[in-house]
Amino acid sequence: METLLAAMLLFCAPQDSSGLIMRRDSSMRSLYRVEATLMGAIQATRYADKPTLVSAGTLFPGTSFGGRLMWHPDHLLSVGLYSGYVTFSREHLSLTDEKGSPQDVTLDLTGIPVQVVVAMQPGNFQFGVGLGVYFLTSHTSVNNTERFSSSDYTYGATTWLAYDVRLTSFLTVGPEIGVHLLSHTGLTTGMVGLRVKVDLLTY
Amino acid sequence: MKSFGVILASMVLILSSCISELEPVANLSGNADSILAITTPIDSTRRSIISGVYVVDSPSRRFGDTVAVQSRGSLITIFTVKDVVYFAMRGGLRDDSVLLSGYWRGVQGPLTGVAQLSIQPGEGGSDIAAGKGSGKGLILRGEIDVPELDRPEPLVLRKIEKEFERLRGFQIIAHRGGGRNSERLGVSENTKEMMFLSPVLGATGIEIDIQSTKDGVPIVFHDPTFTSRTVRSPYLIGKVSNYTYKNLQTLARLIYGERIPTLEEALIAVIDKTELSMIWLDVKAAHLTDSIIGIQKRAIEHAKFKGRNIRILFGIPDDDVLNAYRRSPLKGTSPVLCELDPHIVRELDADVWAPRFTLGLQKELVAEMQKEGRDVYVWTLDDTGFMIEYLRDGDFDGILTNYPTLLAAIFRTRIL
Repeated sequence: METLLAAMLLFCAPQDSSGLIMRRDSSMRSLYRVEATLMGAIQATRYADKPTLVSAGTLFPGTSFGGRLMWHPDHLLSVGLYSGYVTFSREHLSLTDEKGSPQDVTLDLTGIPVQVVVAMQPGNFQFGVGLGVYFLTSHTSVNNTERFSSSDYTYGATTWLAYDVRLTSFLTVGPEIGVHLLSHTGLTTGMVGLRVKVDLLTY
Repeated sequence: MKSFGVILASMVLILSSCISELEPVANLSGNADSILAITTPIDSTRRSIISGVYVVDSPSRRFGDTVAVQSRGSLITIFTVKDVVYFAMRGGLRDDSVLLSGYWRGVQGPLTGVAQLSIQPGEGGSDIAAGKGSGKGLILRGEIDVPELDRPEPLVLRKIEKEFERLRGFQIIAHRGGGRNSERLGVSENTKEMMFLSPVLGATGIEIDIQSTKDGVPIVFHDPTFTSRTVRSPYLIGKVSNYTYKNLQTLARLIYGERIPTLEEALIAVIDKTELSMIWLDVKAAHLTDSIIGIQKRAIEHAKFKGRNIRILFGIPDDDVLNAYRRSPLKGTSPVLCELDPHIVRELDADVWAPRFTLGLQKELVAEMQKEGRDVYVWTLDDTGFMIEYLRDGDFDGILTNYPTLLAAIFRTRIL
């Protein structure tokens, strides 16, 4: 309980430009920002088991694009929403149907995360976590003639670490690394990418 | 910073606690093949001498005080109430001895090991070889491997009486074709492989679930959607009915690698390759009612042709299936099991009434149904106490359970 209270006090404590925590002064005016962050990343997804019996392995390259909309008071903590589009894996397989006929099958799994995120930004660094759902879609193509898809949702989490380099008073860019964790789907994705952060609104 | 770390660690802990690893438990065979090579099969007369209620005479009470032993074909099974364990043993006669080899495992946990048992000439083996006597006092003696022990543990079982049988017959009905994936039996629920295993688990009948593919093929599958609980592939998500039969045959592998069987494949496999005497079709695709009844009727014909005494029941679990059945031109042409109110059971002239166990023993109603020529199966009992109560105080013709091993142990040993 003491740790939790300490955490709450820390999150509520205002910071100066160097990230040092300051005591709140009644004469000081609060500053709030609404920030939008856009990022693109290359990634590697590892499944707990081979996704199909004939898959070559458990590790697959992919890409992800996303955005976060954060409400960032003049404190260490910011909160917001995260969404995007993640291609977890894509593979081409040679399978046989029940009659033994060869089938060229292309499979991919994509996801749209919708998450509540919290982040801390000491100095130019930002790290955060998000919890929410992933709307998954599986696309299948058989012999390049038959195509179909099926969707479902699952719960998952993200965490990320980023470094921001300020370009203008309202724009920063920088690298970001992160992880998607979808335990029920049995996959973990590591990402490396670039991000652009824009201060949309300051009040 | 430290506080954030605490929160982050808590989130990771919560998320990782959601990960459910299903560790498969290997089904061991011991050296059954070599035993079968040097023994002769036990015929039905001798099998009945071996079957019965046995007390455990060895010092370890690992399997409780009393167990049920059943002999069918070359397979001898043992069922225990304590820890819900089954033995699957194969073997036969060699001179005046019975030699058996196989494995034991707990249905509700990962415990398993090899088992080697025999009946020596002076402990009943000679009587079995001669085909005489009731078998009372015969001794099954041997050793079992236990995971936590360095050396085999002795096991001695002594027959005290023949196994219990009910005059009207009794169905030990295994849910989802024999058992659920959560029991990690090494085969997936609702597969042909699970149906083949179900008699080893103690079942005399099975309940299987019927879903529909996109193109209207009845398949044996429980859930309306694919999840990591049932299938291995993360590409298989969403509704089962999003996929055609051909797609599923190409893409779908269940958690132990099996294909999803069609209803027709499953019924033929059970008729041809098991001794099960009842199949309850739990219909979850009302729009396929005509197709399912057609398959049911063809399977019944096939069973007759094969000389198999097996009952295949079209299950009516809810109003959707009831309404589809009422509209079907095939209504009244095949055996029906109805889970709904007694007046609907009578209206349909169902062969079996299957009330849920939470409705209680319903003794008068059960007796009325039986007097009208119907059987009454109750579902789904998994708890030892409830099983004992429903066997002791009720008069049902069958019980549906996720643990046929436990029900077989209680029913056959009459631990009531």
